[in-house]
Amino acid sequence: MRTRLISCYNCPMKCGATISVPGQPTYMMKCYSKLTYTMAAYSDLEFGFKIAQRATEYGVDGFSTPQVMAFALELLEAGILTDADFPGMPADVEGRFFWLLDRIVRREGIGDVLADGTYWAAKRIGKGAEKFNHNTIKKQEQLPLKLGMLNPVYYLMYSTGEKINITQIEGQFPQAPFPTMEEREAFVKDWFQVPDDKFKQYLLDWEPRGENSNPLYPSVEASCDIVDWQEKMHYIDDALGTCAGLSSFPLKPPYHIHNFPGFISAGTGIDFDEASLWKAATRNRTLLRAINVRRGMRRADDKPPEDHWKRRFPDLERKLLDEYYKMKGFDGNGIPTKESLLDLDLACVAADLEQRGIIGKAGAQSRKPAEGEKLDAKEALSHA
Amino acid sequence: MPKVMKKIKHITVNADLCNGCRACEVICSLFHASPRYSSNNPARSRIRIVREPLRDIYLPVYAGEYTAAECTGRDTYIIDGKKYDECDFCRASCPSRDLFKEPDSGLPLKCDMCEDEPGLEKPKCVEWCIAEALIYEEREEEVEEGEPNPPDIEVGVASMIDKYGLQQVLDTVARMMKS
Repeated sequence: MRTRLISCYNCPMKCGATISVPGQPTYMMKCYSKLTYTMAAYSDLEFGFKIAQRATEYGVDGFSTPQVMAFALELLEAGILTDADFPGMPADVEGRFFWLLDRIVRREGIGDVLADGTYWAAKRIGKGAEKFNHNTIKKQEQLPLKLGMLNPVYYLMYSTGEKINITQIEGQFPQAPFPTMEEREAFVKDWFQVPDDKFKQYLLDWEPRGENSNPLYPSVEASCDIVDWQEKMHYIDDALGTCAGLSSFPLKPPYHIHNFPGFISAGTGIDFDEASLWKAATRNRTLLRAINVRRGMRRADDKPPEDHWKRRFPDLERKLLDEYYKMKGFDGNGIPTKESLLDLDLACVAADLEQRGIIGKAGAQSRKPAEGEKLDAKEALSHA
Repeated sequence: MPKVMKKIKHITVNADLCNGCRACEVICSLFHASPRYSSNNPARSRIRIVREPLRDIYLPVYAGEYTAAECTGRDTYIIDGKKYDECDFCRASCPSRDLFKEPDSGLPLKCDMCEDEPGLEKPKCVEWCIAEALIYEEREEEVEEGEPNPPDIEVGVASMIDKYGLQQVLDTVARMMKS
């Protein structure tokens, strides 16, 4: 098998690869896809590279597709689906994954159900299939991670991330504490990307065990700060069209909050400084929340995958969400307040939410459209 | 003919390490822009990447000599299971392709090892190749003493004469001098 790590135009980040599996056409792969089919089938990398080649040619992703296939086989094992749902499926695991892939892309039989994704497939199948849909939030498949102790920063990011995937919000801050103080001190020494030195202190104080460890540390306030910074950088990237690979996704990236304003000003002629860029990103983030709120999203939807962590802390989680909402200018139900919308020059959005009875009237926040409720014509047009 | 020692500047291309990012094209076109660093256009670069991802071909090629004539043959080479066209390796600025021609004027481009800025340790493309696919080397070699290479302007005028004919070039210069 021949592989070569490759880059996009003028980028030093080798985040993709060309893969030549003997007997199969060469294809291109992004970093994570090599593992997803392998993990779903409990198989090896050779199988992963082979099936990813066919999946890539079909044009299905390497993220939710293998998981919905594993979901189907779990339902078969549990007796919720039966052999009659899989006519002609091979007996070996790898063969089954290839067989399911073909059914999904052709929407044949069970493939037609699975092609809608785990959330909707579970609903269509019924008979207890919903219990196996434990890795989706906001109807979307998440990373297949099952961890022990709740991490407060990741709790907030999973719960409130509205671009649906954790990779679209994490990045600037380490995922876990460094074991020794020496490592932490070495890391913060040249960490100039931080918006404020307090982030260095958060990392220095973060221990793998003891008082200053998950889930109580980073503290509620620190967790909100860390999430705020991380998601801001993603919103900035999205607005600029910058690849997250050089900015919001890796630690210590070359593009950051301190040099972006200069690049934007040079490229566009629009005067930007850190404060105005920060505000623009806040505005974008709030606007996205407002759009989703208009479509029915509420606090009840802001939750991580059900069994992502074994150890959960409802009181702490409530505090985390409360504080996050407060920082973002949302009310207790996760809805942007009229005041915060006006502060961000989003009066038209405030008026729209008010007109729909979502904000501004006592008890209005509790209105949540039923699942599957159709948008009215005006909403549909505005989303088109 | 008498022999003299000459410093030969040399770039080794490790095509196995190239990741196709084309940073070499970007920095080359920036460095040679006038004013320097004023524009970025890989079409003006004196190094180009022959890039065929699905054939796993990533081959940086430097602009070499200008030639007025096309080759008569088009051989192909199979190396390590990959099929290359003869042109993939060719450094010439020739009539058969757009490579290594200044896109506005059509004048030939040639790598000068960034010598027009004295004191550089290595050419810019080598400096900015993060994949380390380009390796700069210098060596002393005994060569026959001959005429120095013609300056860029002479190569450019020669290419215009090849393209339009001497009389048309002379007529155009004469007309421009009058206006």
